[in-house]
Amino acid sequence: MNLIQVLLFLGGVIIYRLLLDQKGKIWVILIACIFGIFWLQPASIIRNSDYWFPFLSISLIIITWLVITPKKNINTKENLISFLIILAISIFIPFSRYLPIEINVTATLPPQPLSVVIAVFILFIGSVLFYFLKQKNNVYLVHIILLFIITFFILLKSPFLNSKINILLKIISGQSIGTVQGTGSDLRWLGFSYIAFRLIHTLRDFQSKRYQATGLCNYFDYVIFFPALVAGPIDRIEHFENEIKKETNKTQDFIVGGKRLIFGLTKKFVIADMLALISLNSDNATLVKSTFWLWVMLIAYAWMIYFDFSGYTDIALGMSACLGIALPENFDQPYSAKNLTIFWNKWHMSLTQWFRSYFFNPLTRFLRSKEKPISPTLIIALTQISTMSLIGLWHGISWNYLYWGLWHGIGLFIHNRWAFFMQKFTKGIQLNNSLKKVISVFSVVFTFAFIALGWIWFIIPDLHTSIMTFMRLFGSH
Amino acid sequence: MNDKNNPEKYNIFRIFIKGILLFLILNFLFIGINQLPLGKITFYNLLFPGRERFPFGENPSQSYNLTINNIDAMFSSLKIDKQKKKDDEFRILFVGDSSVWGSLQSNSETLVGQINHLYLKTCNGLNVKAYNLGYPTLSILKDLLVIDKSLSYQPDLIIWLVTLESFPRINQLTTPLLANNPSEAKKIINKYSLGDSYQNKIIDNNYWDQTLIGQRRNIADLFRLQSYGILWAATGIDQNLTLPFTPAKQDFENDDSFHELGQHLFNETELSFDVIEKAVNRIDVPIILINEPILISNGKNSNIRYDYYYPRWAYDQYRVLLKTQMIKFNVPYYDFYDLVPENLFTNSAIHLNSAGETILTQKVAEIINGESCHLEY
Repeated sequence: MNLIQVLLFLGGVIIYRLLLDQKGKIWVILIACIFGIFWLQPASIIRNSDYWFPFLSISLIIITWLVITPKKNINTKENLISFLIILAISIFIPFSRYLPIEINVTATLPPQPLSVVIAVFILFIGSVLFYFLKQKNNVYLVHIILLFIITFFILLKSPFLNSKINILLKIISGQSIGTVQGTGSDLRWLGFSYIAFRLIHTLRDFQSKRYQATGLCNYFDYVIFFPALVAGPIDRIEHFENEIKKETNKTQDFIVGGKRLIFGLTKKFVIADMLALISLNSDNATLVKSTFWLWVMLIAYAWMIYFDFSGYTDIALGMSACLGIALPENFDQPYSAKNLTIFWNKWHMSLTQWFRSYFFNPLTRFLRSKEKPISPTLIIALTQISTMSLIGLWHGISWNYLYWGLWHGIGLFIHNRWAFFMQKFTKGIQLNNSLKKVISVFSVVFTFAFIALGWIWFIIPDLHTSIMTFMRLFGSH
Repeated sequence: MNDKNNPEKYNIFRIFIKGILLFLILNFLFIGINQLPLGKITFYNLLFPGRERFPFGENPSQSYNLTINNIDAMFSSLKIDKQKKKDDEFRILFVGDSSVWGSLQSNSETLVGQINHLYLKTCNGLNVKAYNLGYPTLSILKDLLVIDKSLSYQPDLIIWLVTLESFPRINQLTTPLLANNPSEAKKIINKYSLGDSYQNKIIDNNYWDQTLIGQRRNIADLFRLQSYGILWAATGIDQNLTLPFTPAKQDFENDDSFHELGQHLFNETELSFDVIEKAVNRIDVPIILINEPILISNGKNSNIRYDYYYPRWAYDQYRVLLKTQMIKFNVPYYDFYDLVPENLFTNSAIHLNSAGETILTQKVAEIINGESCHLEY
């Protein structure tokens, strides 16, 4: 979201609270979210993809909701209204092509209304058929949807596959494929990562019978809640539902939300954008001549990414607070962490919590339940390294993100073993306060340095340049 | 409902009013602060080395440099700004347009870079040290502003490279540096008694332009200039030299107009020779004027035009006039218009490549060797 988009959303939120306070909250959010998902989707050189990607998100959400919601809970007046609102807005948006280009909802000219009407009709018929054919046991369907989401995810995040899909989509839309490169940057599906996390969360909870059915409107609001669509945080549906139902004081909401927004806007648009000018990147990494300035640029990057990401989170939290909804915190002064384990409890907390719930814990349980016992040390190594590798690959399916994940996974494992060893070794030893403080400061600095060095994998796509950068940071030229 | 009975509305209203008031106060207080020389606050020459040439860049993220309107910030970012003059130094400032600044040239390839590489000495054994004060826009009045501001650097000699395109009077104040600094332009015009023909063209900033909101871009640029200092220190890059460029045009339409005017005799007021006259009369430092090399094309219609900028009638006339005027003003003058072959130009009719610059450097070095002996005392 750029500054103008943030301010326009905020303006809408303020007007809504002043005029209606919290009346019809779920409906207002639903309408804002559907418009938002089309409006925020950036332009792409693939014709009309700025309409069809959001439409695919909408379709995926509806189908997932139909799968995980018991039949008796589907057939309600509220759900029917929600369904019709969603379809009506989806049909209405292409008609904005007849309005002046400045007020088009989508970034480029929307597709011909007829093609959208056909697509919406297919979605409608599909949903109705789905409803009538729905069985009690939807295990296979859950698996199919999970597979779909993960496949989409791989297609979008892998530069190679992305470029192939790019070509395919261009052929389908009758465009020239001559300019397609393997960068994958043409295929941008706004918010898909976060939509996928939320859908997987509800699907997995449904599988484990922890999911409490909710209405289509609430489900939509949860999955594409516009303040958190682009950069999270990833809430849990039951928490979100409680928040959306909560009656709150408008003044208090504006004060809390306003403060948070000011912090967020300053962090993102002042501090992070300024630090971005001097941060290490793949272009300047090879041009730096001095070790000292290379460290400065690396540290600038470390802080830039923190301010950028936590700034976006503050904006999301501030905007939703103005609506009377408290989203979960995502950052808690992560660079003050004394070790890597604490860092990952303070950095992108909702993501790590998600991976803990849906990958780390199930994998640990699985490995522990093996008939042939596996050593606890091996279990720790396997679970931590694989979890962090997956988190790395979530940023993009390429070697450098995998190296970044491995860096952290191995780091976490080493820290775990170190802590275990030190616990034994220092048992009964009393340290005085000064020494404790020195150790504490050293730990923070050491942890920060490890994290900052890890960003090199993240920034630089090729291994050779990454290794050269590491060497130059330690004085080799 | 009465607002006072509704604490919610009362609070929101108060917050809103306070916010608006603070915003307005802050904005108008800034008009006062804006008069302060904020651009002089700099990390250059303190945390990172001063720049070899003025900040200028159209693609900051790749050139680690940017074009800035704040003249104080431009000067305070230069190495010379904090470079104490040594007893054995003979300090020469080079002033002019983008050809002096060094478009598509690294610092070592510029005229100044190459002069310094020659390690020239004066007759009395002083070490010649040249500084690049060229700035990439074409205006003789802009050059005078730079010269005036740089007098505090104690130059022993100023070498001023000019070309016809810098002289048309109608263009003098449209150059962004002067257009965005009307008060500085006014000061120069008054100080050098340049008269109403310049003064009348100045468009003053209104109050809104001077508020915090009006100045937001300039303030951001001040921060950005400091930020790019880190990348300048880290890489030594102040211009992106890796991009391909379009070579200067060699073939032209059958068109002999100059600034949309057909062939005619230049009248007194058309070209700003008076700026040089006033400068040499007022400034104590010796000034040498050089008519810089231009591309002399052999392409289509080159019998009508020398290059993209100049029809032959205008340029030939300018050379005669410039020489006459410089003799009249008693200014040492050298005309190198045809010194460099056309294949040694880059993207413009006045931009030389490194080899072209070497040819010019040799000539300028001869001038320095000759003139500096007369100038030492």
